[in-house]
Formats: sequence, structure tokens, C-alpha cells
Amino acid sequence: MDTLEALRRRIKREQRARAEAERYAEEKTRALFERSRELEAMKENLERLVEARTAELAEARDLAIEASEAKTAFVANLSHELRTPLNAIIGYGEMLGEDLRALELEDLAHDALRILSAGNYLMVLVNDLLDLEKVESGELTLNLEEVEIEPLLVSVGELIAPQVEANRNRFELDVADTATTIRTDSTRLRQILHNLLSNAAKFTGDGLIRVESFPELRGEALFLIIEVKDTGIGIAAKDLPRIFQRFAQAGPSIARSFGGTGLGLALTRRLCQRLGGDISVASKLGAGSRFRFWLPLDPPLDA
Amino acid sequence: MKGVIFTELLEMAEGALSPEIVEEVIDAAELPSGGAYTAIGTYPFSELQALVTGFAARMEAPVSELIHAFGGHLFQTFLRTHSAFFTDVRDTFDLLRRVEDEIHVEVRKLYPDAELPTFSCSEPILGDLILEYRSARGLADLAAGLLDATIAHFGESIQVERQDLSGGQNTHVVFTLRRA
Repeated sequence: MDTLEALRRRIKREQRARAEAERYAEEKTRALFERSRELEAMKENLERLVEARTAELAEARDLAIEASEAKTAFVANLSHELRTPLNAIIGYGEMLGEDLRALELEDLAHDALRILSAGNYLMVLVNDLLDLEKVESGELTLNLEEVEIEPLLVSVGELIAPQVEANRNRFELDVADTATTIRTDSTRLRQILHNLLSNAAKFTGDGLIRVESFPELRGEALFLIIEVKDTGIGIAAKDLPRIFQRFAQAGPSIARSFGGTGLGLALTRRLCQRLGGDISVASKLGAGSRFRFWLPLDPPLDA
Repeated sequence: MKGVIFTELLEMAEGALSPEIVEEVIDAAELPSGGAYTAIGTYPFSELQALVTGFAARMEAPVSELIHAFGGHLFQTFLRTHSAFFTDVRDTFDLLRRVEDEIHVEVRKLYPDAELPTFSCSEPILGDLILEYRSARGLADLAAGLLDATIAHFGESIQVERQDLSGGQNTHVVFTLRRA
């Protein structure tokens, strides 16, 4: 074969190869075009699905918000409606008791006292329920002010003294002088302390109830730690995880022997959280309990 | 068989022989494709066999030698056209370890119909690499040519021992690479 013939054949081969390559490229281009159209359709379908789902979720959310608001309003109204007659029961129970005692009808006076204490118990329950509802619906507004720690602890201690002494307990208070004031809501802080101390007094007999307060650095932030320790009956390990849940006392027998509604600690925890902190518990059955809660010192709580 | 193998074989043959002889071999082989190859097409393996046999006869060299030389030629082509696979590669062993898990994975993405040989690597002894070649096409000579070109590229001193486990079929061959 001479060179010219070889070149001629080669050009022919190259031309055919080129035609084939072009056909191949066109085929691939068409396949790509089809694929991109399919992808576009899939994308549009997905967008429609997401939109529909978003609308469904928004509707569900609105319904849930409405239901929650209705519940809050109902509980608030109910609590108000309950408190008015309760005030009458408590007020008249007290008057009746005093009148019967003045008439030296001791048996009847004792019965009147029962009406009074049942009324007081119901009042605490209604108040706790209302507070819990307020915290959970975010409607609890705080009155922040600079509060002196030691005088507040002393006054709550004095308030609880009759309960502490009723079970022949001693009360100790130890306030570190490195933290003297805190910016918080004094009413809610009193409520927390009162709940913890009345629990301690209730579940401890012939023992010691001790309150300690000191500052502690956690990461970059400074917290005020307040511990309420007792040498009471303690809480079983299996009951600890449920103790801050509503109506979750440590076993049903507790309610029978010691009273209480199981709302106190749930409310206490919500209040600690609302004040920018939280609460923890450590306990040993038969040895006592230690409740420890913390509130922000620096940076201070911001309304 | 991918078209790039054919276009590269013709290119090598033109250099080693002459355009005239290449056309004569193509003519004599009576190929279904007529030898009009494009790199992106796919062609029957039998055409490669016919061409290789024809070229080897004209070079008066054994087929195995031609295929081995073609392996060296292909390595230079890959180096030029697929340089991305060679950046960050330190040495021969490093490249061989990537053939199955990286390079062939990429090839399959581009050409789902590609029928690739398998190269499994194992390193039971420090400094040795055992490369097991498996392919129905029996192109172990091509693999050997690629191996030698790789070692030469990295300028390393590595001994290659070859053991055919397929009774001379070249379809299952174990290469033991030992650093000298």
C-alpha cells in the first residue's frame, strides 16, 4: 500500500469515527436533557410536598397553641372561682373555732379546726396549681430587685420554725459572706425555700435541717448555690428521677402518711428554672436528703 | 472494550511501524467497525485481539511482548490525560493501592458499562505488595507493562515476580512486588 492510499483510508476512518463520536455525543446530550427535565419535575414535586407539609404543621401548631391557651385560661378561672369560696370556708372555720372555744365546746371546736386545716390545704393546692400553670405558660412575670440573702433566709427560717419544732428538729443556717446580695424575685425565692424547708421539716424527726448558701463559679458564670439538707427519711434511688414531676411523690403511701399533693417540687423546679437556674437532689433512704438549687449571680438575671 | 484502548493502540502502532502498515493490518483484519474508533465508544474485544495479532506479526515480535509494550504506552497516556489521579501519589505502592478503590470507582461513574479487571492489593510482609490481577480477557501482559512503567515513573527499584494461576491463560496472575 502506498502512502497516499494509506492516508486516504486513514482520513476515511477518521471521518467515520468523527461521525460516530458526534452521534454518541448527541445521544448523551439528549439523555442528559431528559434527566434534567425529570430532576426538575422531581424538584417541583418535592417543593409542593414540603409546602403542603409545612402548612399542615403550622395548622397543628396553631391548634396546639389555642388548646394550651384555653387550658391556661380555664385553670386560671377555675382557681379564682375556687379561691373565693375557700376564703369563706377558711375565714368562717376560723371564726367558728374561736366562738366554740369561747363557749367551751372543745369537741366541736376541734371539728371546726379540721374544717380550717382542710381549707388551708386546699388553698395551698390551688395556689401551687395556679403558679405552675403560670410558669408553664410563660405568664409568670418576675419582679427583679437586689435582695439581701441572709435576712431573707433568716425570715423564711423563722416562718417555718413552728413546723421544724413540731417534729423536734434543729435548724442551722450558714451563709457565706462572699455573696451578700442577688438580683432576683424575692417572693419566688421565698416560695422555693419555703417549699424545700417545709418538706424537710415534714420528712425529718428528731434531726437536723441545715441551709447553706455560697457562690460557685461554673464555666464563665457565677452562681449562688443554696442547699437544704436534712437527716430525714430520704428518698429511694428509684424514685429520684420522678421527684420533680407533677404529682410524683415518692410512692403513694407518702401522701397518706405525710400529706402533700406532689405539686410542690414540680413547682419548685419550674420556679428555679424561671429564675435562671435549676435544682438537683441527692438522697439516701433512711439517711436524709440534700436539695441544691442555683441562681445566677454574675451575669445577673435579666428580665 | 473502551475505544481509548483502540485509538491508543493504533497511535502506538503508527509510531512503531508506519501509517501504511497500520492501514494494511486494519484492512486484513476485516473488522466490523472498519477501524473507525472513537475514544468514547465501545468495541468488541475480538477486534483488539485481531489488531494485536496483526501488529505483532508485522513487528516480528511475540504478542505478549507487544501487549507489554502497549501497557507502557498506556501509562504515558493516562499520565497525560488523567493527571488528577497522579497528584498526591507518593510512589508505586501508593498508586497501586488506589487502583481498585479510587481509580476504578471513578471510571465506573463515567462508564457504567465498562468491564474492568480487578486488582486486589495485599501487604502481608512489610516492603512487599502482592497484586492479584483477574480478568476474563487475559491481559496480564498489559498489567505487567503498566506495572513496569509505573515503577520507572517513580524511579524506584522494585523487583516484580509473576505467577500465573490460570495455567497460562493470563486471566489470574499474582504479581509480587519487592522493594530492592
